[in-house]
Amino acid sequence: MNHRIRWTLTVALCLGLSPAAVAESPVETVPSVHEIVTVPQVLPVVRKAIDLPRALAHPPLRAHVSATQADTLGKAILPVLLPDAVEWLQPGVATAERDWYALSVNRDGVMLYVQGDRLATLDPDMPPAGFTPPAWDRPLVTRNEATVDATFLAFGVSYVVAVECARPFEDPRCTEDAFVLAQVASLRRLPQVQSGGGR
Amino acid sequence: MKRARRSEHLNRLLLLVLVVLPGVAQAFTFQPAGVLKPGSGKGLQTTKVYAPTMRYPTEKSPSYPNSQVWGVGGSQGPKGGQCDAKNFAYPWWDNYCETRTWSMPLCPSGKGHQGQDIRGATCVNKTHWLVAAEAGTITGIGTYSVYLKAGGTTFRYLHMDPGTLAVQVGQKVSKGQKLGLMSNAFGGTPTTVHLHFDIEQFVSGTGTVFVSPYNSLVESYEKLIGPADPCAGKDCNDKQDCTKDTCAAGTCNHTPVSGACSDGDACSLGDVCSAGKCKAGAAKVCSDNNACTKDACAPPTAGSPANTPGVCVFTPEPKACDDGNACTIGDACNASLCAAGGAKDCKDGIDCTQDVCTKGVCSHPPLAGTCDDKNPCTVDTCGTKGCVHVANDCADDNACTTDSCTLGKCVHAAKAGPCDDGNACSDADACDLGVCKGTTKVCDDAEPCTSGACANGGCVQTPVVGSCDDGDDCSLGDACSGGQCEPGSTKDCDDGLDCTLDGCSDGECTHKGELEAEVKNCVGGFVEAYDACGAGPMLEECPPEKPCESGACGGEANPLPGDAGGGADVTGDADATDDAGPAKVTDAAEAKRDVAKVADPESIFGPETAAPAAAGAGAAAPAADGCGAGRRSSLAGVLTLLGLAGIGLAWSRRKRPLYQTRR
Repeated sequence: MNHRIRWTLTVALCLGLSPAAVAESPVETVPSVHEIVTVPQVLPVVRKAIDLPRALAHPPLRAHVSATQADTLGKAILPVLLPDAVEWLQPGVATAERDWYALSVNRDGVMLYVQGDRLATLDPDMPPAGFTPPAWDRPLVTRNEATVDATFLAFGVSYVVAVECARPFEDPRCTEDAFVLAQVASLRRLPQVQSGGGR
Repeated sequence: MKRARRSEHLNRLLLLVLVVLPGVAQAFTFQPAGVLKPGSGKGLQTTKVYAPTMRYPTEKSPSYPNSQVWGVGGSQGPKGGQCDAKNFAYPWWDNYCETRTWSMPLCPSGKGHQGQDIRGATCVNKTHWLVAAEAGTITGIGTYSVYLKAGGTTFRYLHMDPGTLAVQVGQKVSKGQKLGLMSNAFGGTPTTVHLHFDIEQFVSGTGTVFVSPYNSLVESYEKLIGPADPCAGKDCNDKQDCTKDTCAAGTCNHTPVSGACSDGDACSLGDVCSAGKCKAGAAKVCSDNNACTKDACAPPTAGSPANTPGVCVFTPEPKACDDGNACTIGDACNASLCAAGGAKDCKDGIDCTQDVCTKGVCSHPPLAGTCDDKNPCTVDTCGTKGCVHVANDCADDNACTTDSCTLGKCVHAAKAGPCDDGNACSDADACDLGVCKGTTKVCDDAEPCTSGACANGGCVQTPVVGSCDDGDDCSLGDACSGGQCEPGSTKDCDDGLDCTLDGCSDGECTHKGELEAEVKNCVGGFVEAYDACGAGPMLEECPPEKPCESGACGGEANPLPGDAGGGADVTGDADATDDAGPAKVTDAAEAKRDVAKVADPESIFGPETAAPAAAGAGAAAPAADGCGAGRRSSLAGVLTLLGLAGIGLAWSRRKRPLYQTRR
């Protein structure tokens, strides 16, 4: 028995765990609960300024939103980017508040979710050194519980396109990046957005 | 204020015990953010609270954020099922940056899980309601996800049961409003029953990313379960059975209790609480009554229920033992059993005996028939040294027979010769036709007052009572006393005359006048004598040895009246000075008897001698009796008148027995 295992056993016994349970656990150093304690930190949230010229420079949406969608999305005072494909746009349910908007579309075994938000959390540790902020043409793609997210920053707004598949482990739209990237690329500016946001 | 509150919260974090101790209600404990299940990756150690006002996403407590993959039953976790109790116990474990292949710029590795897996109170599917973390809008609902947008934060609820969702896209919800049931839905591939909860925020300079929800969950959970109990999680168990352990305001109290307890020694029984301490009871008795085992009490096997008594252990011991058979020796233990040793040696080396051991004692009963010498006149036995042949005992203890054995029968032939008939009072014992006989021993001593008899060979004379004859005819009524014939009373010869001296001789009474020698009347060898009755004078011849000389027998005249010393008392008065003199007659009859008894014939003319003591008082009595002075005076006068005045005077002077006879 090496030193690490002995230590682990000792700690585990002190914790009331059976040796058997320890034996079944991977042999790793049990971390201390109290290694680092600092005062909990609540991060400030700021409403980002909109870079309207750049927003206006983004290609406008060619497809049409419904009146309802338009009415909802009109609440958001920020550039609203939406899928330019009618099949992903028109079935969508739009929700919005002053500083954010979202479009949720469920079709063909996929939920497509598009969201823009100008309320930013100021995290002093972020972005990490060397991190390249994602942009519309080079979004940050990630997965979370088989949902695929692609995020990018534009005009002071953070956008995210999320794809959730009904068959997440089989559907290439979730197992591969192409679909979500295509959806990002298809995003177009809702034309009614004017300078400073709002309708 | 809020900052202080959080500080307090984290200070408590420092104190919380990480495990749920037996007997203590589960207290909320959690690993800090960034501490992941061992082996599950490198966590993000952060104190940031990205959703400080959120409500905890499950409707009720308890709830257990921890890893699904590295938890019990997970693909990387200990074997078991997802319902294992270890998955439903504190502390919480952060799994925000748990190892994944997905990019996550906030995680130290650049990749991570990006959300927090949360179990409900149980593993039962579709049971635990999930509620809105904030008031907001449902912005999206996927196959297994619900998006709740509240301000700049998007809360995602994954794995809710799609069939029981309580909201729809576009719906505004209040904080805490039910959204749906926790389930294992995961797009057709079931996962564990849990909520994957994540918080998505636009992080400045980074984009919309999933931030760590862990500290927000901790904060909100504490709000859900209420104010922290200062006793929560406090271990007040002093591990003493004899105290009741309580916690009040964060202080442990240990109150002594009575009753049974366990002192930790399973081999002591009946432990009892005393003053808060457990006093050991009596040691458990472990005895199998087997000398071949070492008896001991050992603790119960591991895993036995609490307070299980110790178990008796009987370990074989190789040693000497006793198999209960005293006729074996060298018994020894063999595998818990006492094996018999060799047989005890009872051999006595005698051929005519059996050698037998019974209860450890050797005995040697004879072997029948082994000592028969075919001689009917011997008794054959087996002795300590072998066969013994003892001649038949034909002795009849009769000295007058000759004993012998012939053909097994005793023959007793008569013989002659002296013998002893056993009777000491027989003499001249001799055999007579086989019988010892003797003659009776004679023991008569011819004494009338004894009876002779033989006892133990000697003659014994036994006094008898009755009359006898003492040979004195003058005594009457002789009788035996003490083996001697004692004389009876003196024959009464009193003739009633004062002037005669009564006496008895050879049984015949005699009556004689008293004769007194006249001191000067010795004439021609004769003495004039007169009897008491005045007859006379009679002439009596002087004794040959005292011839008449100078007018007196023996030549010495009798003292004259009035001479000093030893002379006769002529006054007739009693006088003590006369004690040394001759006996005096106070009574005529008495005097006569005294004369008869005590007078010595040789004193008739001899010098005065003291009367023997046997004369008694009567001998000392004054001479005032029938032959007293008065009469004598008159008699003396008569004598005087008759010319015999000297005689008369002498008579009046002294009285002396004339004679007495005795046989």
